Amino acid sequence: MSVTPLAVALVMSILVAAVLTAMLRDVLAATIAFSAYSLVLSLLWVLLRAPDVALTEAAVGAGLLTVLFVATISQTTRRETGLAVAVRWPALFVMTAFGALFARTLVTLPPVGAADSPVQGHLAEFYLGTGLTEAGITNVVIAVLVFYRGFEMFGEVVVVLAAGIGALLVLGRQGIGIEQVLTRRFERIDESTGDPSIVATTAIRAVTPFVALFGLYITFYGTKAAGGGFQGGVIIGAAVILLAFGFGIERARDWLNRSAVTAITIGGITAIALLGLGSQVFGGQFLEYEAIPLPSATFYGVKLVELGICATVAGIAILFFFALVPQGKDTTAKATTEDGGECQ
Amino acid sequence: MTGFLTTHYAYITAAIVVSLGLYTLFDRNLIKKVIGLKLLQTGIFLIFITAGYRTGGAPPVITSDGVYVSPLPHVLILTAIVVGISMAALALALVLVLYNTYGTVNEEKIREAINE
Repeated sequence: MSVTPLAVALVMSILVAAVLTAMLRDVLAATIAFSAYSLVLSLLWVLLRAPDVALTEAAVGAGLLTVLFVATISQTTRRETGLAVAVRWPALFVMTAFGALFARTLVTLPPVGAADSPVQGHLAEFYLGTGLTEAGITNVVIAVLVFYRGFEMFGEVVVVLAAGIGALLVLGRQGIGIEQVLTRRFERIDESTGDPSIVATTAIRAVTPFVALFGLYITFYGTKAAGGGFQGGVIIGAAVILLAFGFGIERARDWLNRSAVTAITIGGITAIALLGLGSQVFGGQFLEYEAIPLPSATFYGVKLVELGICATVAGIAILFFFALVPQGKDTTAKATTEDGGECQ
Repeated sequence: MTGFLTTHYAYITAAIVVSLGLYTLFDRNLIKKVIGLKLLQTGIFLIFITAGYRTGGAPPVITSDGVYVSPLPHVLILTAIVVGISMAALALALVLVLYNTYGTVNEEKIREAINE
C-alpha cells in the first residue's frame, strides 16, 4: 500500500478519533468519537480492497453499535462521579509493554502488499482459483463464507442468536422479557415531547422502504458484488430502528408483531440448519449444496442461506435495539391491580 | 526508518489503536470499558485486513484473470464484526442491569456495594 494523500489523511483521522475515544471522559462524546473512528476505518478498508468488510463495519460499527451505546447511556449516566481523572499507571504500563512487544513483531512482518507474503499463499490461491464462478457466485468472500466455511458461518449465526437470547435473559431477571421488549405495555414515553416532527416522519416514510429494499438487494446481490446476509440483515434492522426514531419507540413497539419478529429470527437459522442437514442426507458434507439433486442447487442454496443469515441478523438487531432503549413506565401493572390483577 | 514507515504504516496504526484499546479497558467506567473493548477489537481487524492486501490487487470479486487481494482475512473479519457487536450488545445489557441494581456504572463502587 503506497503512501497516497488519501491514505495518510484516513490514517491521521483514525488516530485522532481513536485517541479522542480513549481520552474523553464523557461516554456519549466517546461514543460519537468511536462512531467517527469506525466510519473512517471502513473507508480505509475500501482503500485496502476489502469492500465487504468496509460495508459491514459502516453498517455495524458506525451505525447499529452507536445506536445501542446511546440507548444504554440514555438510561445510565454520561459522566460517572468519583472517577480519578489522573493517568492510570497500570494501564499505561500494559499499553507500553504491548506497544513494545508489537513493535518487535512489526519489524519482522512482510511489507504491506507484498505478493510473497504468507497470507497470499496456497489457501488464498485455492479460494481465488476454484471459486464458485461456474455457479454464478463471483464474490469469493461469500463463496468462502457460505460454502467452504459453511459450518463456521452457521456457528457464527448461532453465536448471534445466543447473544440475543442472552441479552433477553439478563434483562429478564429485571422483569423485561421478550413480551416487554417487543410489545407496547407501557405508557408512551415520547408523549411528553409532543407529536413526532412532520419533517422527520415524512422523510422517514419516504426513505424506509428503500432502505429495506437496499438491505434485500445487498443480501441477494452479495454473490456478485460486495454484500451478503450479515450486512443486509443489519440494514433491514436499521430500517425498523429508523421508524422507531421517527414515529416514537413505543409506537414502533406497538406496530411490531412479536410473533413475526421471533418467527423471522428463528426461521432464518432453522432454514440454514435444515439445508445443511439436507445436503448431509444426500451424502454430502454440511452445506455441500451440489449434493442436493436439484438443478442449480448451489446457486439457490447460497441465496437461501444468505436470506437465512439476513433474517436472523435483522431479527436480533431489532431485538437488541428494543431491549436496550428506555422501557418507560409500566402502566399496565397499575391497571391490573386496579382491575383485581387478573390480566396475567 | 522512513522506508519502514511507508511500507508498514497501516500496521503501526493498528498497533496504536490496539494499545489505546488496552488503555481504555482499564477505565473504571463500565461503558467506557465496552468502548475500549471495541477499539481493541477493530485494531486487530485492521491488522488482518492489512495483511490480506496485495499491491495492485483488485477486490476479491472474480471478473477476469488478474491479481486479487486475499479473501480469507475478509471472511474471518466479516464474521468477527458481527459476533463483536453481539458481544457488545450483551455487555451493554449487563451494564444496564448493573446500573439498575447499584445505581452506578463505576466498577469500584459496584465492587464496594457487593462486598458490603
